[in-house]
Amino acid sequence: MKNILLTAGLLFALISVSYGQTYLDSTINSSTKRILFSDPNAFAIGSYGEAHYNQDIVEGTYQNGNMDLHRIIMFMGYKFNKNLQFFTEIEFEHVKEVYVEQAFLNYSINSALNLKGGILLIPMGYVNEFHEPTLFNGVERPGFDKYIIPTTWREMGFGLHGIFKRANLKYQAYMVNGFNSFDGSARLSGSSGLRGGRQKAAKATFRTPAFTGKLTFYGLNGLRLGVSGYYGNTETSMFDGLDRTDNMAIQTADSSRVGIAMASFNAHYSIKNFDFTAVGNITSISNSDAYNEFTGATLGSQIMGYYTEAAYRIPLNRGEQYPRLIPFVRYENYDTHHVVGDRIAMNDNYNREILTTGIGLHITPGTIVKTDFQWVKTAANAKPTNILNVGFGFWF
Amino acid sequence: MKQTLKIASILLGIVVLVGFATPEKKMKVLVSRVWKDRVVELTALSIPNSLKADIITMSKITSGGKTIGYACYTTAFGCRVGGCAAPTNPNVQSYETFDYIVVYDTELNIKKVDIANYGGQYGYEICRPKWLRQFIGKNNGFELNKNIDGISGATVSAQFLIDDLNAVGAKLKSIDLYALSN
Repeated sequence: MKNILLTAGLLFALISVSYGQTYLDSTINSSTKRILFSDPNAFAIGSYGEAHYNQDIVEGTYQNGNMDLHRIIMFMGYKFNKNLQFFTEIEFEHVKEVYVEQAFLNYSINSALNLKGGILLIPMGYVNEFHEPTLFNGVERPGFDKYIIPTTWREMGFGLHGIFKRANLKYQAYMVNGFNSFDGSARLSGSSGLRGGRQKAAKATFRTPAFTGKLTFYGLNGLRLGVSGYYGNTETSMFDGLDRTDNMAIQTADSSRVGIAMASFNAHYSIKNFDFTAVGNITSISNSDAYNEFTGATLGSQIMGYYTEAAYRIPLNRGEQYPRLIPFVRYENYDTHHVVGDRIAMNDNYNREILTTGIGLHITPGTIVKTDFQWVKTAANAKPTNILNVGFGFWF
Repeated sequence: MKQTLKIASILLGIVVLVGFATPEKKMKVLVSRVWKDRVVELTALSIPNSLKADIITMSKITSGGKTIGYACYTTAFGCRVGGCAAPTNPNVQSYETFDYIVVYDTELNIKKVDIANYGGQYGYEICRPKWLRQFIGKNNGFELNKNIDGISGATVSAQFLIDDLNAVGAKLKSIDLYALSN
C-alpha cells in the first residue's frame, strides 16, 4: 500500500506542479447589465464550505478517523451605490462554533484609492486572503497557513487599497487590532506560535495599533508576486487601569507582551496547464525572553516557514475548462522554534516537514472533490506520521 | 524611511488626483497617447438607441479636420461583491462594475483598450496593459482562452470585458457612424 502511494506521489511529482487558483468562468451575459444600471442597489448572497475526513495511519495500532463538517460560510454583500458596499461572511466552524470572518464597508473613490474598514483579512501570505476550498489544493489548508500565518487571520481595522495601473501593482495598507498575548495566562505558545493570540474582533483588547500591508505585482502573463508585512506589539490585559507613573508595574506589564514583525512573500506562476506556487514567511518576536519568564510559555523568538507546490490541470472534456482533474504535490517546512531565547530549550518537535500529494476533481467552477495523503515528520522524529484525507468543497 | 514615506505619499496623491479626472478628460488623454505625433480633437456624439445601455459617452476623433477614429467610455461588470467567484449566480446585481475606454479607427477596429476605473477588490489583473493589447486590430469575435489569454484570478472580469467589447463592437458596426457624426 505504502509503495503504491509513494509511486503515485512520485508520478504526480513528475507530471505536475501547483496551484489551483481556479477562478471561475462566466456564464452571465452582458446583456443583463441593463438591470444592474437601472438599479444600482444590489444584494448578493452566497456560500462556501468544506467537509473533511481525516484518517491517521499508524502501523500496528488502531486509529480513529475524524469526520468533520469543517466549515460552512454564508456570505452577504450589499451595494448601496456604485461606490459603497458592505460585505460579511458568517461562519459555522465544526458545525457548532459561530464566527464572523469578514464584515467591512468598502468605499471606492477610484482605481487608486479605496477605503475599507471593519473586520478585515490580514493580507499575509496567500491562503489567508484566498481561503475558499476551490482556490487551494489539498483537503486541508496547508499547515503553514495554520501555524505560521494563523489563517483565517482577521481583526478589526481600517485602511486603503487600490491599484497603480501603469506599474501593474495592487497595494493594501491597513491599521489593525493586534494579537492578544496575555489575558490572565499566556495566549501565545511554542507549538502554535501566534495562533492563540488572534482576537477575531470579539471584544478585542486594543491599546496600540498594528500595521500591515501588501504589494502584489501582476504585470507578467501567468505570474503573480506578492510581498507583505505586519508590524505591531501584542495587547495584554495588564495595562488596563495601570498608573502611568508606576514604573515597576509598567515593567511587569511589559513582560506580558511581545513585539511582532512579519514579512512574507507569495509567488504563483501558471504556464500551459501547470501551476507553481511558493509561499514563505519569517516572523521575528522581540521580548520573548521576558514573556516566557513571566508567563511560563515557550514562545520562540523567530518563526519561519515556507512551502512550494506544483499542480497540473487535466481537463476531462476537450476544449472545456471543467470538469478537470488537478494532481498536485506540496512540500512544507515550518518551525515555530526556528530561533529561541537563552532561557528556553529549542523543541525539535516544532520543526515540521509535511509532504502532501493528492488529486482534486474540479467538477464545476464551484465544486471540488479532493483526496490527498500526507507524510508529517518533525526534526525530533524522522519517522513520518501518515494521514489520509478525503473531502469536498463548494463555493457559489 | 521617512523620506521613502514622503515620496510614497506624494506619488499616491498624484495617482489619486489623476483618477478623479472626468470621462471626457480620460478619453482625451488616452487618445493623445494613441496618436502621439498628431494633434487630436474629440467631439461628443449623441449615443444611438441601440448603444444607450452600453456606453456612457462616445466621441468622434478628428485630426486636421479629418475623422481618424472613435472612442467610447463604458461600464462593464467586474467580479462579484466579495470575491471573483461563482458567476453562475443569477443575481447579476451582485457584481461590481468597472469603467473602460475603447478607441477605434475609422474601420472600427480596436486601436486601444484601457481600464479607466477599476474600483473592485478582485479581478483587477485585467488592467494589465500587455493583456489589453490583445484586442488591438479587431472589432469583435474575442473569446477567452482562445484568442485572448485567460487570467487566473480575474476570469470573471476578463469574461465580462470580452462580452462587452464584442457587443459594443458589433453594434457600432451596424450603425451609420458617418450620419451620426455629421
